[in-house]
Amino acid sequence: MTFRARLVTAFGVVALAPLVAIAFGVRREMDQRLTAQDTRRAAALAAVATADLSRRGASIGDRLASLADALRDDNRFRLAVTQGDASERPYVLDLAGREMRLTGLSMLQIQDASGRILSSGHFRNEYDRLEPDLPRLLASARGAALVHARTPDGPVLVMARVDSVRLGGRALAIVGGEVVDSAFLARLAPGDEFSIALSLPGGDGAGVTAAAPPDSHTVVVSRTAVPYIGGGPGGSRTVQAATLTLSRSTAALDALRRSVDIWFAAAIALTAAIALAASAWLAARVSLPLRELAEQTSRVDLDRLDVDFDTGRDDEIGALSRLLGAMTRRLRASAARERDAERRAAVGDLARQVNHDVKNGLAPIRHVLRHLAQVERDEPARLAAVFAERRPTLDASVDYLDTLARNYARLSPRLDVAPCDANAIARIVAAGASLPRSAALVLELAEDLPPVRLDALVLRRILENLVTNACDALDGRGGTVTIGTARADGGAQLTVSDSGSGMTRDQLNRAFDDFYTTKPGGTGLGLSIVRRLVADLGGALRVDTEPGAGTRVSVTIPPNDKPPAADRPSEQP
Amino acid sequence: MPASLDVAVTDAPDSIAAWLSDRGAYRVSERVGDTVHLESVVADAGPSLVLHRVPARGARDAIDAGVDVLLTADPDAVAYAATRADLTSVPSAWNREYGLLLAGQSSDAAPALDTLRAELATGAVRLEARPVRASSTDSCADPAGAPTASATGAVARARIVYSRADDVARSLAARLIALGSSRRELLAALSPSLANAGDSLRAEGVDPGDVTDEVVRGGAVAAVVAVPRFSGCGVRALPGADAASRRVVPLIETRERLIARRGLTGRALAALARAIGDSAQAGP
Repeated sequence: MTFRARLVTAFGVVALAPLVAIAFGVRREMDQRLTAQDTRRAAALAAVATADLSRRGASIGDRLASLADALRDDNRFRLAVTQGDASERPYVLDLAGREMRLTGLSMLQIQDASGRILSSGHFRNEYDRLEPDLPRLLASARGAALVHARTPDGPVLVMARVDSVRLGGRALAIVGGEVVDSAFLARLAPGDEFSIALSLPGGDGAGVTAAAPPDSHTVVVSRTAVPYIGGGPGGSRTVQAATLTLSRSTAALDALRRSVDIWFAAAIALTAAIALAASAWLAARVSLPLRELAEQTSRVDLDRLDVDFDTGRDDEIGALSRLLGAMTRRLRASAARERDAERRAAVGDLARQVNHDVKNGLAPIRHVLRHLAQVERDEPARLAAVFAERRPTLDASVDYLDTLARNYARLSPRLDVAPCDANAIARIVAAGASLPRSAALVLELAEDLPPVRLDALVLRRILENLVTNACDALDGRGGTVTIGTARADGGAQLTVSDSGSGMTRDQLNRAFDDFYTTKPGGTGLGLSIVRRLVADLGGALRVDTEPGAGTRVSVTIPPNDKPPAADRPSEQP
Repeated sequence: MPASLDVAVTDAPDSIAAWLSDRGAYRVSERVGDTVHLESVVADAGPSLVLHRVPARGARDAIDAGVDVLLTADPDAVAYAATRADLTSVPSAWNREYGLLLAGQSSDAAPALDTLRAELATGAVRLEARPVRASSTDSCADPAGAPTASATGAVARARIVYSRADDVARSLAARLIALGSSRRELLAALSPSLANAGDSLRAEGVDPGDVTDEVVRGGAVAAVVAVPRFSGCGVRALPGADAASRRVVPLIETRERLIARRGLTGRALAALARAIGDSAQAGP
């Protein structure tokens, strides 16, 4: 994770965590208060509904009492009841209906002491039916009670009360009430979100409901027992308890909760987005100098130590910039010293290489001169002939030294690439080899070797170094140094082997390192020069050696059609 | 004698017009909406009549509005007219018969049936009514003594239907329902199935044209039916009553009162009373 991402995350968490905590806290507090307030309101409204039901019962009682007073004053009714005046019978039959309409009741019947219905308002033609238990049960209910009243269309549920009047010593019961239907219950409901259901005990029907059927949002607010006169176990009617259930839909409250949740979520999301954007902006602002510093630092290299870390900032990043600037300045100084030391070392290396190459070039001359001196001393007559015989060696060595001198003069020589005969160069090197007295040099040259395209001087330097090492490996003892050539995949393979002491594994691993030597007075550059020159040719170098069994070095030169690496300018001579 | 009388009726004018036409005194000369014009068949035998309908509960308002003649069965209107010195009333002929169309088996309990008819005539309805007299249907089969019809295959619903436009029929049905729980022996005089239904009997008003069809279809165990009394065999002439599994039991007859202003000439009132009444007796 990047530093900037960490900053964004950190800023986001710091901004959002308190916000989310506050949102949840406020939402919880609001929910608790809303629920408590709603519960109190529902309880109050339920109490209102119950009180309304009681008021309706009391109202029925008041109307029955008024009717009782009116009946006492009704002479026609009195005549019919007390004197049995048949002419007033139609008046009595219609009386209950008339009074029922006047009093606003929906059920009214007047019964004599035996329970015979004298007049019925809700069922005008029910006269003469005996129903003695109803007034008694209503009286025992001590108030309004629910009862099923008969009508031609079937029974209807009414909330009824009973009153009485005495006319001429005859007791009459007046039973009246209001129909309890869904409209009646709906009027009791204190609000649209409330519903009222009346359930009757036993098998007296499903009751009455005023509202939509309950769903998952419906909760019961209150249950009120209401006296109900219905069928008992033995078929006779008794006073039982019906249940008036006031339910309330919490859909509005739930919708409010959902709305609050949505708005809270929206507010949190919006704030989170703003916080994250601000965090990203702030992180970018904070990390920008660091990124610029990192970009500057990434440009620092040993070859590029001039990066400017100057800054006007006086904060930690400014301090870091100044530290990096000081560090690059120190690195620049160190690099300068390093380059100076390298130059010095390179000059020393070059001097040693020049020394080595000159010595290699002088060795055949010294050897020929020593031979000529020996002939002049021992066989003066053959001096001219021997001189003539050895003169090519002298000329070749002089040419070699001359070329070497020109190359070093140029330091970066251009190779003189041309087809050349590897066998001829092998013979020249063999002729100039400084073998111990008892040692022999054997040439195993392939006669059909194709010319190889390279700088002849490079090839001679490779062979001279390898032959010199081979001769040295004989340690002045007898032995054989063999120079061989062979065709190899269209190119040529040069082999220099000796029967000397060979090399250990460790010696072999370090044999091509610069300045590694096991010989007293050796420069340690011979094989390293061979390695570089073979590499420049694009060829391959292989060493087979074993302590006590001699060493065999093979150089494979690629075919002519492959562009030799020697075409490229050499880094070093 | 006035050329025409404005006659308010609480029944359908067409029904009254048909009744008057059948009695031979008047004939319909014109119909305009709910208004029917009748003229005397015999020239100069009486004034022409203009019948128009008033609501049953508006009969007294029609009197107060000064209508020449009111033909109504509303007892409250009759009682009101009796309190007015400027009005006189004459009973009409027994012009309507109510009966019960029954599905299924009938009973043969003539004494109880007479008791039931009397009970219905005296308390169940609020207009002038009397039990159907056997003499009035002599030309027809004995309503109570008709052969027992075979039971229908389907069990009819335990309800008595009536025309919802007929208050008398509704009252009769309601009384029969009430008797189902208090005096079943009277219902048994009509039909054992009615008596057995007892408390489960219900009364239900239907469209006038569906009354007999409900019984025929098995939608009701009985129907209160009404026909003008002057139509021969009365309710027994109803369609559907002739099936082997159904019969009509005549119950009561009703009549109306002719309430007229005393200011009308005696001749005009006498002519009208002769047209609608039995005895042509006019009196307060």
